[in-house]
Amino acid sequence: MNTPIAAPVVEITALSRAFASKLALNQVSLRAQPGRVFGLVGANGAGKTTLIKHILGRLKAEKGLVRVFGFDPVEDPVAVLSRVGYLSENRDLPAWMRVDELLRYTEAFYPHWDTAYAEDLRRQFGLNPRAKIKTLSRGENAKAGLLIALAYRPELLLLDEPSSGLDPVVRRDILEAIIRTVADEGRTVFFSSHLLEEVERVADDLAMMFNGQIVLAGPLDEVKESHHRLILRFDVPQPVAPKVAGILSLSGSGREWTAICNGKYEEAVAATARAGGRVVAEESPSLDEIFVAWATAKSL
Amino acid sequence: MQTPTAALAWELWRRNRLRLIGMFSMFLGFAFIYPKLCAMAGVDLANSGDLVSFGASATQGGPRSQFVATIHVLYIIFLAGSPVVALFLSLLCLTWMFTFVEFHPNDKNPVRFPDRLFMLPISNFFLFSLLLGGGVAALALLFAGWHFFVPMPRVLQFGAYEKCISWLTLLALAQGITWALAGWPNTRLCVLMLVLFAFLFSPAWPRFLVSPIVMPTLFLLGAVLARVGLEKMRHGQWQGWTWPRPMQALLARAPLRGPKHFASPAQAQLWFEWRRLARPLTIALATFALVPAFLLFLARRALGLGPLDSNTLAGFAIILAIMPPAIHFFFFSVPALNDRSFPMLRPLTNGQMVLATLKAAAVGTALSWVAVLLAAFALSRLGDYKAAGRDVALSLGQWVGIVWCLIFLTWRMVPAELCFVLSGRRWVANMPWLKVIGFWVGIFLLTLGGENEGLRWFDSMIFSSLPLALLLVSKLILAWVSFRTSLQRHLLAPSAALNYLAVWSTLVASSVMLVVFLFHHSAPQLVRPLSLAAALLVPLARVGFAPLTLAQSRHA
Repeated sequence: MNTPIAAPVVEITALSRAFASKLALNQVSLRAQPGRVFGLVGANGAGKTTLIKHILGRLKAEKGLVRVFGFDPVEDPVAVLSRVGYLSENRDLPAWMRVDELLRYTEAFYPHWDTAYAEDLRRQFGLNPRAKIKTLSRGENAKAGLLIALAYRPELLLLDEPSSGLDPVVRRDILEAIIRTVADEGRTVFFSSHLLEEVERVADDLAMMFNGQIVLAGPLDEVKESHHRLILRFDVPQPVAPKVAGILSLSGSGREWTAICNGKYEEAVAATARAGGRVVAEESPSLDEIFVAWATAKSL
Repeated sequence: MQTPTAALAWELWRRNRLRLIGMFSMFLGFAFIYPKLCAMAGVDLANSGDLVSFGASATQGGPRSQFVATIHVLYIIFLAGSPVVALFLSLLCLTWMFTFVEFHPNDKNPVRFPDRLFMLPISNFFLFSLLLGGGVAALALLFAGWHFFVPMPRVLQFGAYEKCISWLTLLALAQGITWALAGWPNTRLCVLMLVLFAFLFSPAWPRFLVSPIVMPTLFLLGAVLARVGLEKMRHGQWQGWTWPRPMQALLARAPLRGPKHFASPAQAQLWFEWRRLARPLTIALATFALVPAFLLFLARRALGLGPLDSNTLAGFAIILAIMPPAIHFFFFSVPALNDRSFPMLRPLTNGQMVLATLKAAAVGTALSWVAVLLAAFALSRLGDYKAAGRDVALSLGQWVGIVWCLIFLTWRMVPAELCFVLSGRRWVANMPWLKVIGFWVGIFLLTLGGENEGLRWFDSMIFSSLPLALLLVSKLILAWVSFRTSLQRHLLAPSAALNYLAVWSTLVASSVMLVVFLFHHSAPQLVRPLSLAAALLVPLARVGFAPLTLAQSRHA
């Protein structure tokens, strides 16, 4: 018997967006499934925040389609935003509000607001209810933003660089625990991050963006399995990186070089042999190495 | 740029080039074009002792209709007030520039001295002398330029501002207060406002201004404060008050203020709009109106200065009447102050956001006018309003009507401009300011030529019932289109649209009744066109368009 495939929470098809002459998003397509943690990684200016703004309806798709819970976030912002919890990269909270006012104000918009949970989180984050937002530190600001994004148990938690400003303890022990809990409860998390170790620890699915394009997307395990780190040894020292087909990036010097290849293992082995070398070891690369390899390949 | 002085001067120019170009253009305009305009209007600049004689010198000529006379009076006000206002704005702008503060995007602080200057290898004394010395030189140069090249109307009410030393003192005090109180932003704002009040109301302190001791002493005080403040600011030695901390511990144990929960998103949004802008605006207006009146009252009583003369009292009353609409217009037409990026991410329709703004503005307007009327009452203890208004023969009912119109006008500034400001597009957002410029350009064009031919044509063609009725019909059609589109796109709930239509009908009905009440005896021929004009003034189509333009910025 076939397992029914759940409708995606976020579905983006061939989305393009330009700002003046700069193409910020170029034919982006992706799907985030319910109950999973979707990690979006990319270099600065890759288009991650632009993509998230489209999901929120803050930007209107010039070309392509954006659907969140099956709704167009521009046509029906209320239906989408009432089910989305969002933490912005800039922690754009009204500076003049106090923390307790922020909670009360936000509560009014969400019928499923969980007061006890909000209070638990506030205590856990150590936020003074009487403190004004403008007096909070950057980390506290991030915590306040996270608090109001979580307290109504949204079906989709959208986090734009959530770790930015959080100390390692909060990042590892609280943020990651929250993300996992949200996903375990059957809700969806969509987050962008520069911290690839963090993505590697919590994400189920991954998309990697460069220059407005998604170059890599899929379940994290599959992404990691499809990449290989090869140690290449050449008979003659190589003064510059040798040209080896099927390889994303190459680093090293002299006789020994380290290569990252993407699913073209056999092709890379054959190309290495043709270039006068051989593969002496094959390992599984970290996400960090995969990212750098793609970044190098895309910048060439 | 070879030297730190050149680099800082360049920064000053680069950050303020539009302001500087505007100031220079105004100076050129008033030096070369303004005298010709006065001559064309028949104004004798040399023999205009006060506002009445200034106007009288220009109101010679044949019979005119009431409308032509009104436009002419507006033009005379423009001629009498514009050079003083332009000089005021230029000098205040220079003062602001030389405090060197800028808008800080992270903490949204509009008055922050840039910390980056403290990372440069320049001494505090250098920075202080450059900013104070440069400011003094620039102010003196500008003042001298206006003094020698612009034929200012010698209107006595403005005489107190025609002293360069008072402007230099204002600069030193502004720098001193801005820098020395950087750790106490609220206190700084209050002190700055107090100094500005004292300066704006300087016609009430003639003895104070002419004293050879007071101004130089205040200048020195400002300079010392600026020098010390810059030093302390650079080394973070003043970190704000410490006394609220024990209070905070006490307050933290007290129950939270206000409602525990909002009954609905609309109520929460109304609270948001009230707290975001309407409340600060009301407090600012109340402070602007009440503090000077109160200080004036106390000072004159304490010093035994006797009652204010009728011209000064009339000047105060005019300032009080102009302040609420002007300040509401200013705050609600500056896009940076109308940022709604936070509520845009809440599950709210655009219509809910717009109507919450309108309601908050209505509450703010009513409270602001309570403060203004209280201030007007306080001033009535300092002089004789009847003597001040001897040239204006109006009944009590007509005065009540005028106050009602001003209250309505204050609120109207908000809905009338909202559809532009919320658009998120710079050129559309600047439309309110373009309209102000357009208004005065229109007045100028209509009054071109000594015989007022343009005005007479305008009077005969436009100020009659038919064109106004046609305008009203087009307004209703536009309103129908905008409301229908907003409703179709679910940007506005039908109940909210009906509520606003009820408000519109009430306001139109009350305005028309007021027109009938005020004019049916004195000028019955004006009742119909004025009623149509009153209906035109209450925003309808623009309120319908506001959710649509907000959608432009919400979904860019």
